Amino acid sequence: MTEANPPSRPLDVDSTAVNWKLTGVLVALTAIALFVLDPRSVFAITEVMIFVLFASALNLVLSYSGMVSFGHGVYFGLGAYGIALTVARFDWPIWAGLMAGPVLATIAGLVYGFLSVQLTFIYAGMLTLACAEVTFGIAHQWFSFTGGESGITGYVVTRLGLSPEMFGLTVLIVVTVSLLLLWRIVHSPLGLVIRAVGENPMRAGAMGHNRKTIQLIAFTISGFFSGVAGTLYGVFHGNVFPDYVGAQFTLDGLVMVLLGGLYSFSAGIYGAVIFKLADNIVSHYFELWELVIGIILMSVIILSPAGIAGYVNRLLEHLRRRTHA
Amino acid sequence: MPEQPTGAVALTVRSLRKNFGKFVALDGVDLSVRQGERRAVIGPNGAGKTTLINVLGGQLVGDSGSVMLGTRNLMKKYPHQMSRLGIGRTFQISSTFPRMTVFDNMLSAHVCSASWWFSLSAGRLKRIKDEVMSELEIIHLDRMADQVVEDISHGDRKRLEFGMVLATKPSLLLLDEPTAGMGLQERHELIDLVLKEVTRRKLTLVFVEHDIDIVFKAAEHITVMALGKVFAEGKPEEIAKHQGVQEIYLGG
Amino acid sequence: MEGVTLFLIASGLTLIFGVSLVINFAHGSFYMLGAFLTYQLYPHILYRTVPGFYITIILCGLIVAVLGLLFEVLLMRRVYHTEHLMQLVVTIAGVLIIRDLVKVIWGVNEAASPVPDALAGAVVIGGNYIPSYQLAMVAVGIVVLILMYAALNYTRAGIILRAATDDRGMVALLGINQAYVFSGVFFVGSFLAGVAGGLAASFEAVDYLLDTRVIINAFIVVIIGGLGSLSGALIGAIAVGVLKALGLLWVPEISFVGAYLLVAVVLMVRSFRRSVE
Repeated sequence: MTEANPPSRPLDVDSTAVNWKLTGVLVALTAIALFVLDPRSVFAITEVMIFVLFASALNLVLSYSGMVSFGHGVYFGLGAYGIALTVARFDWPIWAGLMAGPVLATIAGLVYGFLSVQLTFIYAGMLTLACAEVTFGIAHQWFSFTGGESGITGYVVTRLGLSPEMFGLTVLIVVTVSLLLLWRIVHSPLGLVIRAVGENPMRAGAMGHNRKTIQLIAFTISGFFSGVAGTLYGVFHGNVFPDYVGAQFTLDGLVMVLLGGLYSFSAGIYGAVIFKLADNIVSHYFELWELVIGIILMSVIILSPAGIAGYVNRLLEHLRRRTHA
Repeated sequence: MPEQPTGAVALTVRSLRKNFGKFVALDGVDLSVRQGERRAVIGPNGAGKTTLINVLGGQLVGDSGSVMLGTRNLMKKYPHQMSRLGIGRTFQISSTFPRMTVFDNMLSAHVCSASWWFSLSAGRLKRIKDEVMSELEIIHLDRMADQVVEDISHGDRKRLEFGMVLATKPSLLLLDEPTAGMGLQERHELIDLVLKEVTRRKLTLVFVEHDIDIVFKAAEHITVMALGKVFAEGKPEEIAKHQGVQEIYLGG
Repeated sequence: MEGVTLFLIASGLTLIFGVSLVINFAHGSFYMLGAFLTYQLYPHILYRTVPGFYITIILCGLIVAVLGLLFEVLLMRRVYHTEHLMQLVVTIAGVLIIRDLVKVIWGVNEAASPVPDALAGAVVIGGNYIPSYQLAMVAVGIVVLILMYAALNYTRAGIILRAATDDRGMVALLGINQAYVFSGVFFVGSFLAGVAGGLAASFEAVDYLLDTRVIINAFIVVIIGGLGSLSGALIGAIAVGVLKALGLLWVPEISFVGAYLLVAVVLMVRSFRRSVE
């Protein structure tokens, strides 16, 4: 049992603070990489960062709130549609469009979340899927407004006209700030209540918290950050297609989190990095990259349900003990 | 000598009914518990004791009748509303957060019942650290603070659940078989702990219990249920002498 | 005519869920395997004749059933004791793996299996031309329905299966090895998926993306009919078949969204009914 449900890391009130040293080093290294590597790598790093944020947003729902979402692509894609539609259809200025993306995703998270939390586990998951498919259908069929299958292109200059390096840096800043906010949320009183509801809604209920309310809060927050990631992605490519709200992005996000390891804050980070690395490297040399992901996923679940984060945590624990000894 | 209950009526249940399909679980229950009273609810299996506790805790909704806490109607309220009104409860099978540590469990109890639960400040959590540790000391789990609940013993988990409910600062405590599945010594230790805290905090206690020694040790009043109804009620010594009760338990 | 294959695949999905509580995403992949195997094997088994067609389909159903059994025994069995999410991931991983294997073996082009010659014509019923193949499929659907009904109600294994759907604990109390029941239901469910895929091979474009297309439709059917309910799967399949036909007839754009709206409405109505209780 213990092996199957890896314990969430002890909260340990004293270590809820951000590890600024580590964060600083990582951010600095990424920034340097953006400026020294070739354009292809800069492109790849930028994309990875966007997906790190998307997967981390999804992870809030999966690891902490006790819900499943089979439609998280929606909130990602609506981030991109938010800016595309407001700029291309309503002539909003770019800065307002950049706000509109996350706002639209948040509203969708609130509405679909409200419907989904009325149900529990698998039925709720199916409802998120149904909502996602309805959204995809609208994006796909409402040609005059959403551009249908051909989407909306050219609503902004790709990368807002920034050089690849400068845009990468912008993404780095936005993603870092967002992750710090997510960290703050998870390690706050609110985050603890979300975890409590996710782990045992009956106990949390008997201590004053309605499962539906708390899960809706978590789902909406997740929708917001997914929307931020999606807005970045839309601006990055300067386009938006129905696929952005579709099943593939949803599935990719799920795979990232599970690869990274449930019940760990870093699941989204490890998962997205490994997934996108595999995507870029494996698919370059080896066509059957879904097969590889499938096998990795299967082995992770069956051999180590705590995922990559579990391995890393164990390694860190081991190193810490050795340095202390 | 147990004190005579003198306070105002804390909990009033009137003709409470609850059916599951054709099965009548509660068939018009009347109950009145005074403030600060310690009330045991006993009866054979299927008498409706746990159903009663679940209606009082909000986990189940009664079909008809009324439940009043002081002057407040509790019928059709949700569990979280019950908790906010001061009703704390434990479950027959202890209900905690298995993947969290003992410390985090207690911390969650504090945060859940706090008015600032939606805060994003980690400082709030740090500030109540000592308070959480002292709550753990009361239930003798301070040394296990770092252990994951999944790994601790059944008895420790029951104690933790009781401690967590105390941390939500209830005025009415509902315990559903607090000592079930424990060894003899452990049972008495737990009930002593319950009595100490209930007296110290001046709580009203309603508990369901099968162990008759524990019942006589802890209760000032006993309600005997059978077939979804209150069969008898009185002080322990009266219940002990009650002919019908003896028949239920001995003759069946 | 999609209705028949939809019913077959949905009943497999719902059986597996009813017994093991696993939402088997890989079920669509087994359907796809059934379709490709039929495409592969039919030319070698009394090609273009009706008996050959039925033999091929049943044979492919059995092959897929064995694969489903292996999937259960080697993989699913290791994750029953964990959370639902982990089980879902194993089935999703199954989808990814099977899809790429299909790509390796059969390529990315569409494959089509011919209709048996004797069924290529049409029959006039009430002034309308109905393709014989469609009638044959309806016949298969009815036969399977009767067989399943009989098996579930009159055979020991079927009765155990139904008991397991109602109450998992009871099966254990009866002294029946639960593992056999789970394996059995994966075998039967995968068989149905394989047969459905084999039938579909003759009227649907078969390619490596068939799995997701069909599993999504099967989910719609199962949810509308109620997870774990066989008669629900039948009603759901008919409802979705009619809805799609009507939608395609009147407002093609809405048929796709419409099916999902129906799913959302059904789920919501259920939840409100439950919370009223």
